[in-house]
Amino acid sequence: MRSLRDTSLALLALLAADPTAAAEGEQIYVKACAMCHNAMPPKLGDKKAWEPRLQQGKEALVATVIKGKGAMPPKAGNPALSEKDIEAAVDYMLNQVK
Amino acid sequence: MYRWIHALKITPLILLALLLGPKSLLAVPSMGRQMGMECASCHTVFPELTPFGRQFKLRGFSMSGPPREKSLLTILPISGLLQASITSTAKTNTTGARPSDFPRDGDPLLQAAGVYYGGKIIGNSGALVQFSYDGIEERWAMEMFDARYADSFTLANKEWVYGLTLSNTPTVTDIYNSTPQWAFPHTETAAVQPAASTLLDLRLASQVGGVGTYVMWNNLVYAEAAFYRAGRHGAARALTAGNPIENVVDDFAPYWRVALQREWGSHSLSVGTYGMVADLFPEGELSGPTNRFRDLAFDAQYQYIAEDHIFTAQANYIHEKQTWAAGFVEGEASNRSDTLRTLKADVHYYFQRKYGLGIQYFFTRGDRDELLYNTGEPVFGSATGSPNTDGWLAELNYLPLPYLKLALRYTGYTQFNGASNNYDGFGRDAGDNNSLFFLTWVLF
Repeated sequence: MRSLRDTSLALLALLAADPTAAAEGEQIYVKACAMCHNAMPPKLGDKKAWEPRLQQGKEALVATVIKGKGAMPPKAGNPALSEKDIEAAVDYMLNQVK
Repeated sequence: MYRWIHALKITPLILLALLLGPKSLLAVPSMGRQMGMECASCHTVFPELTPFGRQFKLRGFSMSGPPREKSLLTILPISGLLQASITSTAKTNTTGARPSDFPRDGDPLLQAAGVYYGGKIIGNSGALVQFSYDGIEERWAMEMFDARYADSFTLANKEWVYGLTLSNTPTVTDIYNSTPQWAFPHTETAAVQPAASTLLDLRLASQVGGVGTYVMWNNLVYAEAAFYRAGRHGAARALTAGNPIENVVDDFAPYWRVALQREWGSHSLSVGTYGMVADLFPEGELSGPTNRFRDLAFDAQYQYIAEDHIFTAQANYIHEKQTWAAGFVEGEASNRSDTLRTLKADVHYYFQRKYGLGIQYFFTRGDRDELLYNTGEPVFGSATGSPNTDGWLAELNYLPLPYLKLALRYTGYTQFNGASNNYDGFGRDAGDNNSLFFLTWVLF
């Protein structure tokens, strides 16, 4: 019974999700983020490395990307990225570790 | 009295640089093209590296993003360099001074023109190589060579980045802005220089070839070890091509480096130490007894990098023990051993990466050595036999474009080769060597 409920919720979540936004996030990730996050920490999909960042929440992460932090250059070194682009990329990266 | 009327002569070179710059900036220099990033990602203001720039170098210059455009320039990591300058010394007509002592003073000068190979070679390897014309020395030569391979792994949840390097200058492989190759003020001038400098302070620049290895643990501890040999042997000859080898290292000279770094928010800090031991043949000799130079250095760097404001500070102290096993016997040094200590400390501020000011204090302290420093020459000698020098410099920068830097630098001495007044015994004062330097520097 419980598994049926979980499956239904998952299907609902899938229907509610915007596949266009997800694809856009992946595209932006490949274009502007992958060269670093495929090579250096926190790497894409590394749950342990992303755990403290998940706790910060999406808004704080987006603000960090815009401003830059440590080795992370402001807007990932690509000033053409809009806040919406950054949000989409952050969503994509967070979804890989949820 | 400065002869600034001569500055007008440099105008055509500046115009050439300005014309070259914007046109060529349609395609940015090779590393930016490779990453698809703006230059500000890796540099505060070139050539000073940001924390991300250090990561890019650490990882073998090999990280790359999807190319923004398909052209030959996006495939070939080639960039160009042009430096035009003019130096004006306060006094060039003191007693005994000859015009040849100030060969380029007051003249517009094509200080450097050349090409870089900058970026990925293949896989995890890359290089930063500069082959250029040196307008002060008037020759084409291998100015800079740093080829490297890097990789990383994770152990106990901590990242290790490691690499191998092939280079032609001790400290060219370093990732910080506080060691001699990368330290402010970044470019030399044609002005008269003090008599003494340490081996690590670029006396072996483009004179040697070396193999090294490095590691960065957890983005916290950086360590490096290398061995250098004279650029007269084997592959080392290619790394020093075009440079006359004046400082010949006997056998192999070990170089080492350890640094701690921390990054938080917009701030980063590093403190470190590095050193080298080298046995050098006396000038003009290739065998027999040698002189030993043992250098131990300490450095530190702080950076605050925000969108509009950048503040950086660096300090570098080098202690050198010189043992004149050959020089004492051959009558080149009065003492069997000497010490030399140098300090350079500087602060910089940049507004919007366009307008900048840097100020540096520097000194050289060392043992008196009559034969070494009291050469009896006007301008270059020291009547007291002392290498002590004190001074400061200030540099204004304006960057109308990210790859075009205009610099105006004043260098002032309060002590030069051992004295403030009449340091050479011919009546020349330290302040007579004060100089004004104007530089136009374009990368394309």
